[in-house]
Amino acid sequence: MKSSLIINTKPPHSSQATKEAQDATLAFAAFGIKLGVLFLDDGVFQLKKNQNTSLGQKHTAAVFESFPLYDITDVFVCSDDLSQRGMSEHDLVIESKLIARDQLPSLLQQFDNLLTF
Amino acid sequence: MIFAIHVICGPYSSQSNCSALKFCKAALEQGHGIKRVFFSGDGVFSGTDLAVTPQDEINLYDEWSALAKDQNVEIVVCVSACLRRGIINQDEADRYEKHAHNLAGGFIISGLGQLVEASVETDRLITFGG
Repeated sequence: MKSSLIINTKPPHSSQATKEAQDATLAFAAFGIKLGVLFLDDGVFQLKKNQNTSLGQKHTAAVFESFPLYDITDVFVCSDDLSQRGMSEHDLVIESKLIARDQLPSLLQQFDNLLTF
Repeated sequence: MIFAIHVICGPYSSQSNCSALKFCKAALEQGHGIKRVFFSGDGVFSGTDLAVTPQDEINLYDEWSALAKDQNVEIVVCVSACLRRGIINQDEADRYEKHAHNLAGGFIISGLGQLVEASVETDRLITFGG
């Protein structure tokens, strides 16, 4: 079975990207695909704790918190992008594996398919 | 080589939508196969039957439909993305009691499982607009 890496690059709330990437992630997991999820660039904001949106949209943190129930445990966050935005792993809503930017190529090579949102 | 294509950007709002179309055509011309084009996010706007483009510009809507009709490529729009953006077929219009429907010919409304399946069963999955 092929493996897939879902790559999240967009900030939350400014578009539907977070929600639609979550839908795709859960769909891949439901089909039993070996899965990784990577947060890059402004995508790291998607995992920030204590988001309080008043935009009338459903909160996205609950879906991230449900990842372990779907056996999604390979959650990667680019540590350089995190620190550039004044955040650390303590600011994240789920347990994540920090990965330096120069380690990204070898991470991407571990997966057959890459889906960028 | 058999490709699956994932389009997440709308026509004209990003070059990537047009690039995806041109990629499909080029691949077919060179003897490759396109198993499925899956549109999600703003990509589902490609499926509207109501857009009118200037006559002297490429009509991406018609071109996508033609790809399905003439080249037998399966073009699928994600149902949840469609409903949110007002792209619906007769069945969905009936289900949600809407007075009209606007999905262009050749397009199929289906779920994310179609993307998962295409990603597993093809040699390459390529995303446009990510």
